[in-house]
Amino acid sequence: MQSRTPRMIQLAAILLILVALAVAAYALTGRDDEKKSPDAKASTHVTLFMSYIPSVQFAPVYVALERGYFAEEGINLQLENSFNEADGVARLGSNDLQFGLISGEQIILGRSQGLPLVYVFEWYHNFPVGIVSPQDLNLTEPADLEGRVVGIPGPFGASYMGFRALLSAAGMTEDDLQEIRSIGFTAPDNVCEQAVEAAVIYIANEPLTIEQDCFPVNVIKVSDYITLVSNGLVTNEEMIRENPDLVRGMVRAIQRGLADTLADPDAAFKLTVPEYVPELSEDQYDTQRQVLQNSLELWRSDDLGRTTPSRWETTQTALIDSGLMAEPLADLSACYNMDFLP
Amino acid sequence: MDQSSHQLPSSPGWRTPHILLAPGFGLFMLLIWYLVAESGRYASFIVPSPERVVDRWWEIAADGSLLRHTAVTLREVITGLFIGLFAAFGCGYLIAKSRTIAYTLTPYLVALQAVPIVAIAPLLIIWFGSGIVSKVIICALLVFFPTLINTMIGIRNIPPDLRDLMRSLEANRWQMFWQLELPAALPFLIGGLKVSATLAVIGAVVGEFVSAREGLGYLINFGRGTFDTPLVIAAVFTLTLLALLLYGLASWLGRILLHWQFIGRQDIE
Repeated sequence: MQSRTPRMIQLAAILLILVALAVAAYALTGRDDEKKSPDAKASTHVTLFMSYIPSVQFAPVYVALERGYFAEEGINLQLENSFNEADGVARLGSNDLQFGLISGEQIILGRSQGLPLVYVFEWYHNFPVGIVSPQDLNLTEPADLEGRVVGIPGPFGASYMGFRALLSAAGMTEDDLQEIRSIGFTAPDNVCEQAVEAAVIYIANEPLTIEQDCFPVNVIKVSDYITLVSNGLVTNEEMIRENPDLVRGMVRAIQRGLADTLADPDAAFKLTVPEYVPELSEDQYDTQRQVLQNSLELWRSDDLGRTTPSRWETTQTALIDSGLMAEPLADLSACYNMDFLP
Repeated sequence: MDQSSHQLPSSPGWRTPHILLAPGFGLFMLLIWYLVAESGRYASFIVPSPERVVDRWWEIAADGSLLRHTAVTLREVITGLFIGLFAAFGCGYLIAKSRTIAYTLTPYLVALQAVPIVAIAPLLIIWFGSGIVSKVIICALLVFFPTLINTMIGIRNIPPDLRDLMRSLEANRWQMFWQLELPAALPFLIGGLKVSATLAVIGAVVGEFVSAREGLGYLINFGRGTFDTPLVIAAVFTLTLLALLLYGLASWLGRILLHWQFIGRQDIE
């Protein structure tokens, strides 16, 4: 039988372990997550919502931070990454959040629900979605998808809208395919395992993974067939009304970061990846450099940051055709405001 | 109370092979995994080899990032676990003692348990922000129900004779709680604690999946986003170790606080 003293010692030991774990957990996470702007005059605290993990696909923002472009605008920027774009849209709409890099169609959908979102800067000039398939299937244009099994993340979001718009542009409907299968965000896995014949993907990174680990692929780019609104810097009407200078500062800093990245992607890569994407292992650097290269093609534009009314018209039509929206907005032009571009 | 019927056979002849069963099964599974990975049937980002996972685990352990992400998750887990445990014990005690409170709260608490946490996690992030608070609430919500139920059962199962005995000794309310109700409910509370310890880890990861820049759940998300499956598996293993550590502490605590349950077994052994 145990005596009372050893039991007390054991109890104390458990308590000590728990306290030590708690203290260590709090001590190790007590650091300041904010990226300090090099310029001390930065004063306005701004959180930028980005609907993906930290990635080279956000290199222009990291470049702008590293080179002090936000600080020069008096902005102390904090980055918030999330897979939950709907969360960002809701918080932007309620002004809990002031800026986000958000898919273009979300602005139209959000405004149709009464959220006062405004797109102030075009991030991707070319729509980033496409359809990937094994090269030996020889699916090189939308008509080749007839009778095929195509995987989609689900009947929502930019990828589904882009897919529906692509079919529509080619004079096809979903009935022309053998099956549309919801596969979540596992397109590379499903294509490599040939569980589907083709899949809707983000063209900057996913085809690259399949080619590296499985086989050569073909990619049908949505942007080759239809011009849709892509991701952009989004704010809300209250910010535009109350603090237009801050909006202008954000637009200017991101545009400078984007221009720098396009001008010298190698420098952008070296400048940002180890600092902002520290979880990347060094043997992934070559792949990620290629992802950045693919992203350059999505960013490249003759007029960086400027969107056009026709893109919004086409996107709204695609949303209605896809069944994601019931009727057109009363004022589609309220979705975007290009007055803040330099 | 007869505890012997709940105990596993523990004769000396049993013990040695029994100890080897779990590691042996683990090694067997590891071998299967190795053979599948080496078969070349699956791309390396779908089934990476065990060596690649170990290399990646070592890499993030050596550069300090594993410790940092684990600390974030641990902070959420410990805070959520304690808040959930105390809230559930308080509620469970009140419900067990008062029919009025039981009738008032029980339908809502059962309804709360029926709501899938993954469905409300994004809403909690919107309401409470993407920082630690929302993750702690998710952990606490997951921990709450099993502890609540175990507290209720523990308090309600106290034999009336023992209550009568305490009353005959003129025990006051505090003495009744400290010397009868709490010890009598302890086996159930420890059972709830063991379940809660692992649920709290799941809660933190659910929260980090929705929105986070740090934590093991974030690391898994990051690994998925970059097709770095060894990183995903390394993070999952670390989560498992964290859950095992907390479960082990709860079991140890149980052995100490419920030492009287083991006296008979020790005498046999």
